[in-house]
Amino acid sequence: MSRLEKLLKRVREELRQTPGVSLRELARKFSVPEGAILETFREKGVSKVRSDKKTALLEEIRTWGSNRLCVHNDWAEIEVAVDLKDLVSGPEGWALEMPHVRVEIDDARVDTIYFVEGPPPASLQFYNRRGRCIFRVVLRTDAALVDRFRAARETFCAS
Amino acid sequence: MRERTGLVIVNTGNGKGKSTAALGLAMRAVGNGMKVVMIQFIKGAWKVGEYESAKKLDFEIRPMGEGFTWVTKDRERDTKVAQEAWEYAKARIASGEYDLVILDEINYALDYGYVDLAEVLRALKERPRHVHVVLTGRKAKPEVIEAADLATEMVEIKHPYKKGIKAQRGIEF
Repeated sequence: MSRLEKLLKRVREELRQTPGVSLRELARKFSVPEGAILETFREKGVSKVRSDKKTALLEEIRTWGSNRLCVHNDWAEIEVAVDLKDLVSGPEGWALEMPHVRVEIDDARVDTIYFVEGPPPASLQFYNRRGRCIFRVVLRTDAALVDRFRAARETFCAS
Repeated sequence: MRERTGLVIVNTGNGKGKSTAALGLAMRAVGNGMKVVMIQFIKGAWKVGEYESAKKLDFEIRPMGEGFTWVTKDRERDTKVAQEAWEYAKARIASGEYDLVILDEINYALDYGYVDLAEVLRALKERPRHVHVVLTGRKAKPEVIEAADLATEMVEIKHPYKKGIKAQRGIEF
């Protein structure tokens, strides 16, 4: 059993004992990338976006209107309501201006995107190559938008 | 001596530069011996160049929820922290001790209902005559614009990312 597997086993135990614990807390506590935890404990409601569908997904989410965007990186931990239609496309990806921070979603930063739907609200989570969640789009809870989220999941995650 | 008339200034719109313009004003005011404070109404914590500049220029930037970072779904807690920031700002406006008070991104807090609009309007109306107040952020409420002496809308015409230019230290943060 590798070191990572041993750590994930401990994470699983911690999850069993503390069901509400956040992925971030677990990752910090056990020094395991959040992405590895999400992958290992993937349950119904967690779906990985196909790498060839990322651009199309970003085109889609521009139509999702106002939602919260959370940024977690070495510079900022910030949460703001943004209108996703303000996403601008460039030669390398997409960017969105937030107060004091510009979110840049491109291949250099974002390796994997997951649809995550556990207890509301649903979210779209963006992970870097080190398995760290760097952006999250946290959805409004209105039923029509959640339906669109689920439809997008079918479209962009199906193998 | 001519009495100074404090202005209410609103920087709004979807384009960049609302907080940056307020910081430019802060720099000018400090250079003229005025006392300045900037209170930020954004949830979270971030490292940007203006904190270092503010230390050098000797004016205060106070982030909301100072002392911890928080990304939570707890609206009650969000409102409480925004309220604390507002109480801090309100006291500084009313004290008359500051010449320029910048309420950074307060339009966002008002839009989200974290801070009571009527209370902000009252504080603006009842402030000491010499105090300038700047309110920044997208989606300024019509009542806030009505209360302003100067309102500016930032509009994006071009964005560097469209040409592949990424965020740069010293310009974007």
